[in-house]
Amino acid sequence: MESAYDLERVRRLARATSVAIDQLWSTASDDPAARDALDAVRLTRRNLEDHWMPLLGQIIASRALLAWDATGPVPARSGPRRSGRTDPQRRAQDTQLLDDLLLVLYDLTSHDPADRPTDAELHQLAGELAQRAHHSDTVADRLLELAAITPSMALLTSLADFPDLVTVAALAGALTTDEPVGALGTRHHLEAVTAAMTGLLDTPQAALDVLLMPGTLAALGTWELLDDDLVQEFVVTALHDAVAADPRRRRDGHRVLAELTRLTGATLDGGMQAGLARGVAASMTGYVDTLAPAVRREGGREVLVVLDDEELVLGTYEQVTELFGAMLRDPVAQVSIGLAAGAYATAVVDARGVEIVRGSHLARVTRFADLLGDATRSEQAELVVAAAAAEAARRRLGTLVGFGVSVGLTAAGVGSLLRSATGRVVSAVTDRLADVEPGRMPGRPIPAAIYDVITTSAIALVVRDPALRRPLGLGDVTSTQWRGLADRMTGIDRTDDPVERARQVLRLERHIEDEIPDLDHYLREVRDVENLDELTEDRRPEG
Amino acid sequence: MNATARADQLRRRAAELRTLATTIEAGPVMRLEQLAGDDTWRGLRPTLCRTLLATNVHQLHQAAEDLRWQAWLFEQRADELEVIARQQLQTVHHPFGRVG
Repeated sequence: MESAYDLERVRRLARATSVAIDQLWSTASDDPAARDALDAVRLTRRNLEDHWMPLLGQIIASRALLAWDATGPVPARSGPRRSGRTDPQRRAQDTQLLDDLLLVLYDLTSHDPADRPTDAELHQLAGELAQRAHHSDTVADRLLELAAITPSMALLTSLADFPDLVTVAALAGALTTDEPVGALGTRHHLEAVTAAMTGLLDTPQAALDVLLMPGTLAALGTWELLDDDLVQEFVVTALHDAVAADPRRRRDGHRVLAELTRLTGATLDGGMQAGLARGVAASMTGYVDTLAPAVRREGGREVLVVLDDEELVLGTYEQVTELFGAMLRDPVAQVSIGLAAGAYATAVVDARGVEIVRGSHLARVTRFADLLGDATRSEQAELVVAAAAAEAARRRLGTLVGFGVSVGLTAAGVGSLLRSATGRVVSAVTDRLADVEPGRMPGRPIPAAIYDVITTSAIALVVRDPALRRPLGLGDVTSTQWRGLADRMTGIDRTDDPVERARQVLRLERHIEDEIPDLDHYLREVRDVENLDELTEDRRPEG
Repeated sequence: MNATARADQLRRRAAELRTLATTIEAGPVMRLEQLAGDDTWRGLRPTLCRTLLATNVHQLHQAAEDLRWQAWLFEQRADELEVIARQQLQTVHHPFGRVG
């Protein structure tokens, strides 16, 4: 029979059992007619005292391994199992190794540093256990059991090359344990989690597996003692790098987003840890091309993400808006989400080419922009998101959008490209906004900024590629006019101040409207999509 | 002890037995099963624990039912005693020494 347990539930059960025993002790009557009933009460109490509490105590005391001997080896994982035939001598050595592990785990809980194992002892034990875990199901299974019991296993797994299954279980167990078993202490608990998270930065697939484990997202979103930068890096590794390396895991990434959407309305209602917000926001460039087409504007309507082989509901429009709202409280996350929106807008325009005047792809951009507008709660946040979107367009970061397309772009890998691009945009936006007063910006700048991105991207498309001009009805625009347009586009690109930049875009549009009717007609066709014109509401400051 | 006093005593005992039955059935032990499902623990020993508890819970429900049955019997006996007591009272005070 398969054995497994949920430590938090076991603790709850132990508390409830203790309360039940107390109540049964207090159940009494002097009436002779109650004798049989009191016998039943006493039998029940003794069962709980003699059978339940010892087993519950053994599990909670982290030495449950001994208790589980009665049930034999426990297959707590899936996948093919190796042959159960083991050399008796090897089996004895494994037993000794696991006994040593139990002693070390016990010593790790000591408050006296003199009792704690040395780093060398820990490394040696971890190395031997990792090696055996790769070859013995029995050892691996026992490590999995312990991973669910004590955070110390997270520390051990960070010291050697354990099977991913064990490493993932150890970190998930340490993240979801409310209190350190055996009075491990908050500091050591934190050290164990930090070490395990750092260790998993090299294995993105395992990091994503951790986020899929129940309770881990809530822990990362609420554990304030965890280092923001580490959480951000871990989440980007899991949500972005794992999917970039294996696009088949995109659905797992969306599952994480769906769970996060659910948590935003529940556990994370009061906000989320900055590292989690930044990590998810920084990963958004990968998801925006599947998320944006799913967005509908009605509050109660589901955001249904359509992937190659399945559909997945993230939540209602309102819930997804709350998710973005929660992330957009963080200034760094604001930049990342703005970057995703701007990069997505340019990617859609660039990808359409001559087809830009047909289809409804731009409507996806505008709906996503509207969602961000609805999610943003402060003028400063709108300012940052809008500036980041413009910066992303200026830097032509459309290649960052999605997962599969970007693979192989750099020798250093997609993750590095994303990180360096994000870093550059963060510093650029920070520099440029330092001198801008929020009062100088319009009230609803995100959709307006996206409108500008679409406009400039559409113009840049035909300025850059002469082959597109005739098919798009621009064959009669003179070379002088194209050179003038190129100069104006360069001027816009070189303008750092977002307010001045917006003014230049407006002047460019007026110039086109007055002087180049064919190009004006082309822009009107581009904008002839659902709600694009609505983005121009409160578009820019007067003057 | 006269019939009325015995009836009162039986009614008090019946009330106590009913209270005891309610206490047993409302106890926290009755909710342990909900917390001890497969999502909490699985394996031979947890299964053994659950089986024992299920037996205990069945016994407790049976004991509570027996207590209520006994209480009902006490109340029936108390009713009978009260009838007898009233009859005795009417016999004592009737001018002809008999009731109707």
